[in-house]
Amino acid sequence: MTIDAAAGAGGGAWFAAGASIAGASHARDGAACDDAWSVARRLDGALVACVCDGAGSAPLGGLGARMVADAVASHLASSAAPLGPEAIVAAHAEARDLLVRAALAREVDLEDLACTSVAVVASAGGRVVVGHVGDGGVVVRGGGEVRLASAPARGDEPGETWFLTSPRWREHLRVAVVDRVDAFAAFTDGCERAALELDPPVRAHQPFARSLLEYAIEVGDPPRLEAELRGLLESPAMAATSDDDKTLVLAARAAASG
Amino acid sequence: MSNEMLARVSVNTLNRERRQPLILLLDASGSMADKLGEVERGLAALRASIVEDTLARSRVEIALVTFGEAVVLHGDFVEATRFSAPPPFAAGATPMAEALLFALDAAREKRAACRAAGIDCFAPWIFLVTDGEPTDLARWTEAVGAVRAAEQAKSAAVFAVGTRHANFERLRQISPTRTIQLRDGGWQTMFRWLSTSLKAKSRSRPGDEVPLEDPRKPDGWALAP
Repeated sequence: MTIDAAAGAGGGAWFAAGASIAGASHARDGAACDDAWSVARRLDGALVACVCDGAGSAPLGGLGARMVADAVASHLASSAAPLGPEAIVAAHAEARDLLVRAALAREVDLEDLACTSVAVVASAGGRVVVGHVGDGGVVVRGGGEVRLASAPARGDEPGETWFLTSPRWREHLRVAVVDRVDAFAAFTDGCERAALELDPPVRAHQPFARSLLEYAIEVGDPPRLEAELRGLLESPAMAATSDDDKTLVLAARAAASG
Repeated sequence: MSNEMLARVSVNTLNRERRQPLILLLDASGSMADKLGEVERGLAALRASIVEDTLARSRVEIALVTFGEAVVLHGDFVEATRFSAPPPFAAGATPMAEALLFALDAAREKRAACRAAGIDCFAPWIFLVTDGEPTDLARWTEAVGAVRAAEQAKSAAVFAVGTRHANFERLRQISPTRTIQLRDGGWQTMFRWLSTSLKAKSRSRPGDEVPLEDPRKPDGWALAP
């Protein structure tokens, strides 16, 4: 196997594949998937991804997730500002404003639209900036190593986490920057148990994360990755780890750099 | 189409399931002697019912605490497959306040242990069954306050079940909304309800409200108020 592990400025163009499936608990209730994802590409070669999980306790959580994923991705895709932590915060502030307006228009509580957000900007040079409110996570491959770039945030109660609708969302928005990245995966909490080692310290489960990211680089074919990713999320092995909705966006830079 | 990704990527199967602890807090004072047969059968049925449910089996953990001559924890929290009821024994007074305080401590420790291990843990259920009234009234106010505080903090859910001669005024002080009078001969239905409810709770997603079957329905195990 000849994977060029030399991450950094020499990498090829970013490509991405994503999939989202309703978990068994939702399928049982006849409910739709409350996760959403969105990916956008910038003219400067950067890739933007956002995955969101509508709060189970929020009647319109799925709508909130859809709105935030789209708004964060499109804000970051069109922003003229440098793609650093400030841009990620601004994108979330704008997405949250949309939620506020939607709640007013529908005459519902803002909390009815509660959702988490995992946003990733990957520049052409291999710098990854993550903005993250709530659970879910991001694993990255950088310098040949695969690790957890942003971990799920947990409250005291099981399933309790933070949402963009919280008045204190800025305190809960965590930003991470990783350089020399050539692949990453961002996912909602339905994938956590499969992809991570949750006994502290929380870390990437290498047989999942490393295999997935290396495979993406190796295959380099988004439609194929997307079909296979859906198969993975729907697999009995994944279902056995969680009956929640599962969403994962997989992105990588083509291995051949010249 | 073959899915090579599926063949390459290995899901972590070693993360442990979230926990739904149950503390059975059973009156073992002298007056319970004639009900121990029912209790024993009920515990066996509870165990069997949880063991046959693949999800509940890996999520529900049971600890049995009796209060009579003393407050006794019989073993620690165990999964249902490893749960076995101790030989039935009833004697002495009814230190219900001490038992409640003990159960709240056990619930707190269980959650702390789960947290340290990175395991999600639902608020433990404390299921109190008595045929009488507390004899340790010196600690009663303390126990009521501690139960209320735990309920408020959603760190435990307390059910207070009394048989016909139980002191329901006291029980309602502990749990205004979950005090239930056991119908005569309703023991097995009660244990069946408990296992059904635990299974529903353990299947739920964190944050979900889990509606429990009303034990006061016509063929239920509770007397209508």
